[in-house]
Amino acid sequence: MSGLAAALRGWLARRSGRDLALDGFFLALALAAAALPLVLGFDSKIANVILLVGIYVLLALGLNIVVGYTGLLDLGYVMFLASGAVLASLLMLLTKTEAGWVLPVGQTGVPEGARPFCGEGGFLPIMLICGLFCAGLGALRGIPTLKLTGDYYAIVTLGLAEIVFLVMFNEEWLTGGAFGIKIPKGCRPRLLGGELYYDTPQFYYLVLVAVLAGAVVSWRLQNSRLGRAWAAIRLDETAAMTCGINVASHKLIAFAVSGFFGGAGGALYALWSGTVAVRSLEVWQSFLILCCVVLGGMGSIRGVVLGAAVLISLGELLREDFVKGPLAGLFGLLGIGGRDPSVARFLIYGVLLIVIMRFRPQGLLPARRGGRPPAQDEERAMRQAGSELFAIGPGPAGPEGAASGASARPVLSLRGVTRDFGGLRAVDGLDLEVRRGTITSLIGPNGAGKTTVFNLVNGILPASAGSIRFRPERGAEAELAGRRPDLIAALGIARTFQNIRLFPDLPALDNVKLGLHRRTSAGLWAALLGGPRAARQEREITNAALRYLDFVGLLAKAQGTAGGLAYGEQRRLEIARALAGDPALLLLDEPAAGMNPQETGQLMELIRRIRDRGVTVLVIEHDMRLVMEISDQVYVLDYGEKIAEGPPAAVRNDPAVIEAYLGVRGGDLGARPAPPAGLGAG
Amino acid sequence: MAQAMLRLEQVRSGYGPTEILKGVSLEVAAGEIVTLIGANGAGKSTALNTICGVVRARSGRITLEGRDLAGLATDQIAGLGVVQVPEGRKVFAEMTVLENLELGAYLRRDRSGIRSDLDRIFGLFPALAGRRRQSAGSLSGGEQQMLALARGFMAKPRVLLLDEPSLGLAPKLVLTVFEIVRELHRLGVTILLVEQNAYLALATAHRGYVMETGRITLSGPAAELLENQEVKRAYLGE
Repeated sequence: MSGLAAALRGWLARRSGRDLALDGFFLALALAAAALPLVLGFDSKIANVILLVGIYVLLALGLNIVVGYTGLLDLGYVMFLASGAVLASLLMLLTKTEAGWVLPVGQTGVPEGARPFCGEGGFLPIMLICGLFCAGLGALRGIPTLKLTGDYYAIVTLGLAEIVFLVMFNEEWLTGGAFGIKIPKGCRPRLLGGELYYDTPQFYYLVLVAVLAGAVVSWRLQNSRLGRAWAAIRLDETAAMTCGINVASHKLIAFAVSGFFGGAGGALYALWSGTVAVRSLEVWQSFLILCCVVLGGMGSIRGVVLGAAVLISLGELLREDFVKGPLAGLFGLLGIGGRDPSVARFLIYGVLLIVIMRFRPQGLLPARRGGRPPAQDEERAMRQAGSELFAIGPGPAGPEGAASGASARPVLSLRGVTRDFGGLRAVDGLDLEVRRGTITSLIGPNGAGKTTVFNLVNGILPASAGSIRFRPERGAEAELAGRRPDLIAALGIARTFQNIRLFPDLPALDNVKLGLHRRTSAGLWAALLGGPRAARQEREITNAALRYLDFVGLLAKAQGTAGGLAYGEQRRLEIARALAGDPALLLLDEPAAGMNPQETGQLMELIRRIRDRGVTVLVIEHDMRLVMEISDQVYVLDYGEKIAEGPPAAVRNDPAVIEAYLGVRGGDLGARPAPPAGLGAG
Repeated sequence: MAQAMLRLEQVRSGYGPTEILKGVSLEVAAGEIVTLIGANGAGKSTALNTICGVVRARSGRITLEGRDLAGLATDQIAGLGVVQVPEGRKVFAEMTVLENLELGAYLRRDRSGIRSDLDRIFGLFPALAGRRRQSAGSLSGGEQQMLALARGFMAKPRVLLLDEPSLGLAPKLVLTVFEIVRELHRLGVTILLVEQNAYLALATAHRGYVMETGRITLSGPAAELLENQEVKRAYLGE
């Protein structure tokens, strides 16, 4: 009991005053929702509105997984609501007569003496079936859209939803067409001794429990390894791939989970409305649900709940009382809505949305961007800094023989590698070898094709011709050409980017944890159900990530966002993330760009330490001091072709290199002759 | 120095809750090249962004030839002749070289002046002249930087703000970029140059300011700063 109290105290200490106030607010909201119908009656208008709010909260939470967590704009979410609602009503209608199973669509009652398919407690399996069906539908819909992002994805989802709507609307034998499917009295499922109907306590509390479950599941997903990977995909898909994240499968999981919410919500909607008319589940419902998410704050559970609560309750209240009461006169005067003043609610909706988005563009309760307070186990791990945990250092602790290097077998060899962009040949028949345990540099003029070589090696671009072979110490030799970036990362090749591609909204620690993605395995079930194994894994990767942060000297910055770090720190964080994948080969793309000589000196030291850990380094760099001082071997590229290779001293005096790349030595600048820092005159 | 072309007095600014510039004062006289050097995160780019109104000054004064720029939008400030060439060669990749240059002159109404300035640019940069119909995205990194600088010139700036023009360029091109900066100066442009390459910046400029964590810590003639022990240690890697 004292342990529990201590945990509670720790939790309280980590929450800010604003957090606690919001916790209190939502607790009060939940309690009010639970208690109100006891006073006002379950058949009251208020209870009915709360029910609808609850259902839309569930739907919005589901949509939030794709829109808020994974960062894909989905305009067709209504298809899950409609499919779930129709499937649920069909399952409820399914009755057994003496003649066998029948589906009395369009009939006013159940055949005499028939037994409905779902009896006592039967609605829970129906919800599950609808959820699973829509999860499958979501994954299925996801397959053709996997390659799409941004506007294209949004348009395709919109189109698919319209197709589903039209098919359902026209297949009258199944959906009742314009009349819809009425769920007759005899078919209403029962739960805990009462009928599930819009005005029964059983149904009311079922919806509240479902909403609570949806929020808990959303929260668990968000804070899991899976949720972290989704955030990475949202923030930078390419960088996510280079962390070893399989973008396709992670997106499919998001689509499926999102679909499950929609299907289960649809089943509840069917019961709430009593008659499922596809007509009322048109595409604009997608926008309504999306508005709930955007208005509340994409990616924020509390925001989404509040957004749905505000929009839906307002919509329902405007539908009836207000508009017909005091506002009707005003609208009449303004000539809005004509004979049906309730049309004006859309107007109010629209104005409200514009006003809120103008003043709170991130939503009512935006998702937390920026640092987060450390979780308890992270705190503990950080307190141990300096203890034996940190003495180990990262990586394979140098069994590959640091700096003894230069073993015969190259870790990477390119043979005749070519890459064309349309008519432009960016890389032309390149042969290149990187020996194990060395630092190799790739230099050359801007546009020479250096970064393209990196993109070919780590699979972001396919090679037009040639072979790229990778021979890690551990594991078999592999051909890299034609492999996906995440698989190449898994083989042991990590990289950084010329223009720093961190996940700026995430804490530095989470950036490094994403680098560790491949070394852990917790998936959807671990995220949902937890369990000691997943918790232990998470602790282990927290510790490992902190070690890597310590290695690059950023331990103290673990909790702040990556985007909030100074430029040089961001470079080092990107290196830590790359190292976290335990690579045999590290590709650094202009790590010293924008650094002053002091910072460059520190960077050189860091690169040497990485090499000493047994990681082979291939680096693109323009800073000649760095290249000349730390490289064992230098390759020079110009117009996609290799124009020189050899040890630094030989390359720097090569006339072809001076002509194409270095320029006149000593660089005469006229009035004040001045060699650029680090060019190494003479 | 008589009347400063551009003057900052105790300017404070930043993003969100963080204050980056903590009271920055500096001056650029007409016809000068002035450089602002300092470590990453010192606030150099923020200073430029505050001058052009991308970031709002929270206090202090920014004046162009005595005229207060407070409250003006970025396009209005550009219209007054304060033109920034942003970091990272942000040329319009899908437009031609010529279109990029014409966009630089977007706010100008003097057609003949635009035409003669285009001729000057093409005379100065034959590489651009030969590719005037090519898309800017097909240029090499060095040529793109050349184009970005030329586009800045086409706006007929009173003050040209250059943000790290040598960033990410091959050593040979780094020298070329500083030569271009001198060429632009010779054409009569006043320049405020933010650079990471302190050595070349100081070798190119008349005067320099050293910025550390949002404050100017050192200033003086560029030649003197080059000899300053503090500067040598921290920024020249000696």
